[in-house]
Amino acid sequence: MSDEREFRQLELDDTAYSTLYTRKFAQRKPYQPADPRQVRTRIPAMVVSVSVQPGRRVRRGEALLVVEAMKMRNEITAHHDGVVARVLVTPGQMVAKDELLLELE
Amino acid sequence: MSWLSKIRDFLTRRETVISGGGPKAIEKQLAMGKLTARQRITAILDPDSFYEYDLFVEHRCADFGMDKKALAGDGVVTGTGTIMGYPVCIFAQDFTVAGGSLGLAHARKITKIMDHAMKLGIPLIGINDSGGARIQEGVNSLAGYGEIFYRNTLASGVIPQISVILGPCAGGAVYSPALTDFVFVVEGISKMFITGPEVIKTVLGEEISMEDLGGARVQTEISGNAHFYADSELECFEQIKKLVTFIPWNNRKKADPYPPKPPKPGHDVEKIIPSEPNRPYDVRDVVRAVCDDSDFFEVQKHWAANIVVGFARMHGQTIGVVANQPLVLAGVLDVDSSDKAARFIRFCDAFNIPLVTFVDLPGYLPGVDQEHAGVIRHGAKVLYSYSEATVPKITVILRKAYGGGYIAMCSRHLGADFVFAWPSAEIAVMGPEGAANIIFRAEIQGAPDPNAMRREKVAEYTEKFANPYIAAANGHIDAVILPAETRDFLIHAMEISAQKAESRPSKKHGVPPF
Repeated sequence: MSDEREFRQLELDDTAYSTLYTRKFAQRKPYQPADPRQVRTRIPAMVVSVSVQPGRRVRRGEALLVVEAMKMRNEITAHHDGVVARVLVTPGQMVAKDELLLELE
Repeated sequence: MSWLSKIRDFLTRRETVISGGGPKAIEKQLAMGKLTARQRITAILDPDSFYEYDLFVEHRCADFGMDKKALAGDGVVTGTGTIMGYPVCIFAQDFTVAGGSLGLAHARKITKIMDHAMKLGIPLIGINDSGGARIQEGVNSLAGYGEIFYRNTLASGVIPQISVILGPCAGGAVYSPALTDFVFVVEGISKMFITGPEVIKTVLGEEISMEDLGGARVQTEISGNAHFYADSELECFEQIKKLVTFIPWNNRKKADPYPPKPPKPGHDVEKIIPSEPNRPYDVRDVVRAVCDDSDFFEVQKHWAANIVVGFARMHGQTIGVVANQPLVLAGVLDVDSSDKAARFIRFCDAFNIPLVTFVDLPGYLPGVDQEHAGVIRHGAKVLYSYSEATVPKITVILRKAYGGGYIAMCSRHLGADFVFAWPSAEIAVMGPEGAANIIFRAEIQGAPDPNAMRREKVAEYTEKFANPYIAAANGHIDAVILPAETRDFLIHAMEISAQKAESRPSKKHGVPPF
């Protein structure tokens, strides 16, 4: 099995420990707070329809687009009031997990 | 029919079933680098010890032309035998017969041998090599799986259950191994997943190979679903044999003792631990330096390597070892290592195997990913399983035992019977640097030379608190011992705990933080 045997530093309570990393730990992604203006997919999906255009004022809870994944159609709604800045997808398009679909101003 | 022709008729019938899916299918199986079901059983069991049952079981399915299809033994071989003299019940799915697909008769052969194992109080070994449900049998096939899962669950903690994945094991089928105690996988042969690459591609558009999705390495190193990894089937069988020698037949017995042996020469317990508390070392060297024949049989070696669990012997008696591993991630507790330790502790407690815990950890791993993955719940499993365990619990604090980690690692407070500490032990609420920075913050910040003041205060804290004597003064540990005395203290503690009988409040079952 893979074992890189490369000692690294791990700092805990102001003490730096010399130790090996597990692959999982070495590959962990730094946390990024979610940007509320960005609308992304949670899973890979197909865009079925888009019901807003740039410049459109939307209210919280209003439908923005419909995506299909796992044989289910999911309506994606606005998380807060705003104006649509950009629409990055068109109906029929396949989108990957976490792909940006739409941006609010 | 004459006597002789009856015998001949029987021999022909038996020969037909034993030839499984026929020469072509067997050739294909061997070409994949796999052994056949009966070859596997023969290789695991002692020579000539296998007795097969239910050879002539047939399916009852009449749909989709199945009434015209005879499936030898309905695609599974079941029987009893011995491993290193220990009795076991065993089944092996036969991939050469309809891809080892599981129908109701196939499942009922398995549940029958499982019921035997439960009644006889002997371990169950299941070899999985199956394409999955027999689609032609529809819901009956699902019924078969359900009946197996139900028995796996009832048998849990009563008899040891071992699963060997020697081929595909996909969809619902993987839940039988998941419910058992130990899962063995082999490089290039084992494939386990709930939904395969095909489904993932059509539904999600993600492309991945079977190997990368659920091959042997993935299941041992990433998911932690498997406990033992081998490069070949034969290496895997040697691992199974070794495991069986360490564990008892059932939960009413203790593991058989072996002739006591001293640790092998060259394992000097004095020379393993570096003097600086932030330098790494391999805690397995400590285990090998104190256990019989320096023979430590590690479980889940490749997953969550920041904790080490496995079996060893002390003066001939099996022990379950749990040890923080400073070599990897400084030996912290995190989501995966907590899961790994908790499961192992519960196995040992269920099967009367005394627990020996070696402690050297700085605490829990900080991080957003850990908190969001539920390290609170997972970490609590360690507390729960140690507190719940009634087998002899012996703890040796080697070096750091800080904060919540000190409590979790089988401290006196969670019911340890004996807690020993080496003179190098630091039993404190946190490391000297962190503690000094908090306690003496004002002094450090207000000093003309803050760094010099910090060094002074860290030294002061280290001198006063980074040792085992405050815990000893409070009776939280029983003895400060020399590293060289560890084996003697452990053997003595085990000997005088041999008749330990601790009871717990009567309940249906606890509600551990699963």
